[in-house]
Formats: sequence, structure tokens, C-alpha cells
Amino acid sequence: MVSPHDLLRVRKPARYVGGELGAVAKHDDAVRLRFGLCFPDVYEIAMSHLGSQILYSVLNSLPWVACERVHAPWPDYADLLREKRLRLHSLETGRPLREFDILGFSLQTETCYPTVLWMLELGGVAQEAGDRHDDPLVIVGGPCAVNPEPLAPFIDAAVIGDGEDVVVELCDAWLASSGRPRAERIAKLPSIEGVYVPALGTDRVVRMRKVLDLDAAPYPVHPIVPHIEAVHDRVTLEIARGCTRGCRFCQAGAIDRPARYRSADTVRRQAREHLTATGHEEVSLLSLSAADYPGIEELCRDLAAEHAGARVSLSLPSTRVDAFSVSLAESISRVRRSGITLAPEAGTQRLRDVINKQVTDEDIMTAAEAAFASGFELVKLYFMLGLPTETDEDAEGIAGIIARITGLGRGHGSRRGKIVTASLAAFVPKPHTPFQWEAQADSETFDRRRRIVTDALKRERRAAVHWHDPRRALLECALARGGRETAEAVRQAYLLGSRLDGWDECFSSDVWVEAFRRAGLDLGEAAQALDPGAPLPWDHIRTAVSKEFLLREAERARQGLTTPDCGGVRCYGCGAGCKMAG
Amino acid sequence: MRAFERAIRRASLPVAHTQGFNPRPRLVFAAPLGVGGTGDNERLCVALERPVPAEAVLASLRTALPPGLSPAAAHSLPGVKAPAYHLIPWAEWEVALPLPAPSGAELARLCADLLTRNEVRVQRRRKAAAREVDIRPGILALSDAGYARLRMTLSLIADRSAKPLEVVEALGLPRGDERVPHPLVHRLQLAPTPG
Repeated sequence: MVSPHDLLRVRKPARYVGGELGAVAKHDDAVRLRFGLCFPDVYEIAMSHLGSQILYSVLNSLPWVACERVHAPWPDYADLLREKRLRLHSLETGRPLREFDILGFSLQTETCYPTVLWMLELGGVAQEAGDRHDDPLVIVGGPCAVNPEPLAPFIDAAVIGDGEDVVVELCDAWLASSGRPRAERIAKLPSIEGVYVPALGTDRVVRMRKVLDLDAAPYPVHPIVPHIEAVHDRVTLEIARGCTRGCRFCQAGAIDRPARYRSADTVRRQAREHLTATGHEEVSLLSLSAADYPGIEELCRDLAAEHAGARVSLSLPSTRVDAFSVSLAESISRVRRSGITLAPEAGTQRLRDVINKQVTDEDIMTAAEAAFASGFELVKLYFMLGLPTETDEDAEGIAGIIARITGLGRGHGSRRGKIVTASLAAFVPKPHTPFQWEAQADSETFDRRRRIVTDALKRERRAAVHWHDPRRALLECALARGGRETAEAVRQAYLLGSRLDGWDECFSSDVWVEAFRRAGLDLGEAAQALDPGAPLPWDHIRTAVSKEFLLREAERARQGLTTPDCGGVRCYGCGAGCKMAG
Repeated sequence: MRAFERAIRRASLPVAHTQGFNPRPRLVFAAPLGVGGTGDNERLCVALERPVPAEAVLASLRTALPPGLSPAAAHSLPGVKAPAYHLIPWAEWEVALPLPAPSGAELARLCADLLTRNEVRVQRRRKAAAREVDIRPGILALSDAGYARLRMTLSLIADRSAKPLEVVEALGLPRGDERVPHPLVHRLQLAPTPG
């Protein structure tokens, strides 16, 4: 293993030491299967991911499974491993990747694909599925797995949907088939619902797995308390999964229906248990649209009241503008008021109708006013640029909203430096959404519209506008909508040195342009609109909603027509097949 | 620091907090160790909102602290607003050098030579700026401790202080960077807190 003398040579050595409270290292004979939970980013990013904590806890609760974490090293640690002729290894026991029975990679963002290949190489595992013999079973899961084709040659299987139950079934099946030839063992895996094996082709339909009863769903009683954390030490509680609002750009909402909620009793109990087990100072309520949770205000009020004495604060990472209210604002965080986040996404009502984000300008101002009036001093806004049918006028609308909210905050006597921080994200058409066939706006358009916003706010010192390189959004588009031929571009990018592309300092657009060229593909073409009549590379993966519904929604978008939230009560035929009264 | 804050919350100790926008628990470490530093006898002061018997604090922290951090003793300082940690005069250290290291005889010679000098100037980096300081007055004792280790007693008093890696550098030994292995700095003890 790497000695402490050498560990001090790298940045943030605490990433590599392990031994955290809540970490589980099993050495006993009862263990029959070793599962490497791999996250293709560095420690502090990986440790913020709730899904991994859940899977870690689920797997380790089985006496016959040892689940250990593997994170992407920062390049300096990778160099150190190479210098010492060591393989990439787990945190808990220092076991090289090669020695695990199953490796599960969590794909949170498409740009992580070459990092997966890098981790396999560092860990001594054959990168091509066809080259594996005694190697571990390599599987992927997470949001990007709804189109795993760009990784198809490199993975043995993909898990689509909620992983808690599938992952146990997979371990069971893999252990049971021990001793059989590898190809035979892998060919049996699709009998588990939600498991897709690329080597067997795309004829077979794979249905997404869903955990419906969140109260019964597993939850880590002793989460790992990381050595390095983002900002505040925080307990993250998932209060809901799924969303029925139907914003047309949103993949998370489209694929995961019906919306299901954890009961307030369960949430309160989990908050109590987690705070006791960790000593964290903040409870964060996670869901796609927290304000849609029935009784959110009461829940927030109860949590704030129960834990305020211990100076634990409460936060809602994202909230819907139209459901935000003064009382909700007041029930959040009596202790530490940082900022609230609102996501208008588009600058005009017209465009908001197109994307089906049913929020009015008045709703936005009311929400901001409520926030300032309750003592919040910072409002964070999320917008997208490059949405279908967008014009320069919509960009001007964004600037107007930012300016008006800043003015509101000033009027409340805000003493902070920045009153508003706005983030402009480039729209990426995602599989399984009504906008999956749309073209993506090019960099020039993004830059031009972005400048409309920043020019209009040039003299406004109390508002800050952030954005990322739009060329990264082009890459996301190409990988998100890519078919199996895109895998060669992923391989080339890896060979050209692509690693940890989620980090600005690592991402290179030139590398990817060249990688696509070497693969015989044109990266720019990926942004073009797709033919709705043509088959899609992800047609064999079935999520909650039907293709017919997506086509209908795409047409309604073109006409500027909105579709209301079904609310689990009034059905619009999305295909999720919920049992509803209406 | 964070590990202690969390442990104190896990232990449900009634810790006092700072005022203002972002209240922090009132914890003070005596002469905090740098990244990678270890210590046998560290000192921490926790301000409590109401008196709690020292044995109870010790017991609950013992249960709440993560592996590797174990409290040895606790005592109450009733009526004391803040401990005089800034007045602690010296600390005793043991520095483990990475191998290959000079022999014991060679290290003993280097230490003896350094102690005969009137002045030992090193660059000390504070924030962005670096300035040259004379650390000789801060070196109270220095010797070879066998097995590629150095033992040293260094002053903590402002303007007469010396740090372990500065001494290592002054001896002509590598203090470590991205390419070169680092010595491991271990604090054996802190002088008693005055008052």
C-alpha cells in the first residue's frame, strides 16, 4: 500500500485513507461475494452521492456480501500508484479492483465515461467485455444507464432504474452461477428485471426497475461520515422519488413515475437517527420538487422545531417556484439562512409554456419576495439557454428576471455582496423525454444569448451570472443520444487522455473533437434534430412513459400548449400505468 | 476540526456557539497540527453552555469520536472564558524521515552541528508572502532518536518559534513535495498551559 510518507505528496490525502465512521471492512469467512462500488469521480464528489450510500448499506447488511468503495483517484494519486506499481484499490481493505467479484459503476453524468475506462485500467481489469475471463462482472447503473449504448462494449450489464433490490438479486444470481463459463453466467442475468446485457443485443425489451414503497425502502442507518465534505456537514433525506409535473426537458421526471413519497413519520425518524449517528449540522430534503410533497410546510416546520435547539438547520436544495410560499420559507432554517434556489428555467412565459414549466412571472416574484421577507439574503436562479424555439427575446427575459429580483432584494435592505446568483445551463436533449428529438443550439448561439444576459446586467454588481463551456454540453448531447458506434469515440477519448471531465481543469473540447474524428464520427452532427420516425438507440429500454406520449408532448410543445400535472389524480396517458381514480 | 464538531453533536454535549450569521461551536485546539500530523497528547477546549462533569464529557466523547481519535483525560475550567493556549511555550516532536535516510551517526552529527550555529535562517510562508526567519532561538533541543527519527523540542512563542519541517530543512534534509516523500511529524507532548 502507499505509505504515509508518499501519501502526503498528493493533494487532499484524506481522499485515500478510509477508516471513516460508518465504513464497513469485512474480513470474515462468512463473506462469499465482494462487490466494488465504483464512483467515477473523486472522493468528495462520490461521498455526496446518496444512492451510493444506500447501495453500500443494502449490500453490507447481507452477511455474505462485502461492499467496498472505489473512487476515481486524482491524477497525482494515479501517478503515485503507477510509480509504486500498485493497482487501483478499494478504500476499506486496499483490495485491487481486479480481485472483486462484481464492480458496479454509478453513471451520474455522461462525461464520466472515459473515467470508467481509466479506473478499469488502473485496477487491472480488461476494458473490453469480450476480453474478460477471471475478471469481475462489470455493471453500470444510475441516470445515464437509460441509454448505456456508448459504453456497451465495455460493460457486462447495465441496471436500469432503482438499484436497491436489483443489486441484491444480481449478487445472488452471480454467486449461484459460480463455476459456470462466464458467457453462460452473463447470459442468465437478463432474467432479472431491469438488467440489460449489451452482448445479447437490443432485441429484448428491458423494463426499468422502480421501488414503489419508500417507507419500506432500505435506508442507511449508519451512513459513512466522510473525511472531506462539500460545504456543510449534511444529512440528506430523500423525501420523494419521481415527479409528474412533466417539464419537457427533464429526464429525471419523465422516466420516473408515478411520484411516490416517503411518509412524514419516516422522514422525521430517519432525520433523528441520522443526526444521532453522524453529528451533522444540516438536514437536506431531497426530491425532484420538494414543494410538491404533500404537507411539506408542516414537515419542514416539525423538523426545524425538533432540531433547532441543537442548531441543526434545514435546507431544500431545489423547489418549485409556484409552490414556494412565505410559510415554507419561514419553516426552513431558522438557524442558518444561506440561500434558496428557484428554477424558472426560461425567461418568458411563452418559452415556459413550450417547456411545460408552468410558472408565471408573478409566481417567480412572489417566491423571491417571500424569501427576502423571511430573511433569506441570497436567491439562486437556474435557467437554460438553447431551449427549443428560443429567441433572443427569451434571453432578455432572463436578464429582466434577474434584475427585478435583485431590485427586490435591495429593497429589503440586503447587506450581502451578491443578492442573486444565476446559473445558465446549456439545454441538452435527453433520451426518454419529449425533447429527445430536438436539436441542440450551437456554441455561437449559446454565447450570443449568454452575452445578451450578461451585457444587460453589466452594471448590476449585486447579481452574478455563471455558465459552463457550451462545448461540454455538446459532448453531453453526443454521449447521451449516442448509439453503440459512439463507444469508439469514448475509447479514443480515453486513449487521448480524457479523465475526470466533470472538472473544468480536466475537460478538453479538442480532445473530444479528435476522439470523435478518429471514431469516424462528427461531434457537431450529434446536435442535429433527430427524425421522430426513425428508431432510437435506446428504444429497447422502457422507462415510465411511452414513446407515443413523448411524441404527443413534443407536438404540444411546438404549439406552445401546456399539459397539466396529473398529480396522480387525473390521467393524461403518459404510459406509467398508475391506478388512478380519474 | 469537523470530526470533533460532529462528535460533540453526536455526544449531545451542550456546547456554546459563536454569535452571528453562521454560529460555530466554540472549540479551540492548542497549536493545531498540520495536515498529516499526529499527536499523543493534544489539547482541546470546548465551551459549554452549562456545567457538565468532566468524566461525563470524557465518557460521551469516547463513544462518539471516530476510530483514531481517543480522549485521554478531561477537566473543567469553571469561570475561564478562553484557555491561554497561545501562551504554551514549547512542544516536543518526533519526526520520522522517509527511507533511505542518513545513518544514526550522520543524523547525530547534523543535529550537533546545527546546535552550534548562532543563526539558522529559513523561509517561512504565511498566506501568500514568504519571509526569512531565524529559527535558532526556537530550537530548544534536537537529537537523533534512532530508526531514522529525530526528536526535537521547539518553542511555540510567537517571534521565537520553530516548526519541525523547518528544522528538517535546516538540517539539509528533504521536507517533501509532490515528487519527494514527506517526513511524518508526530507531536509527543505540549508544554502545560500557563494559568
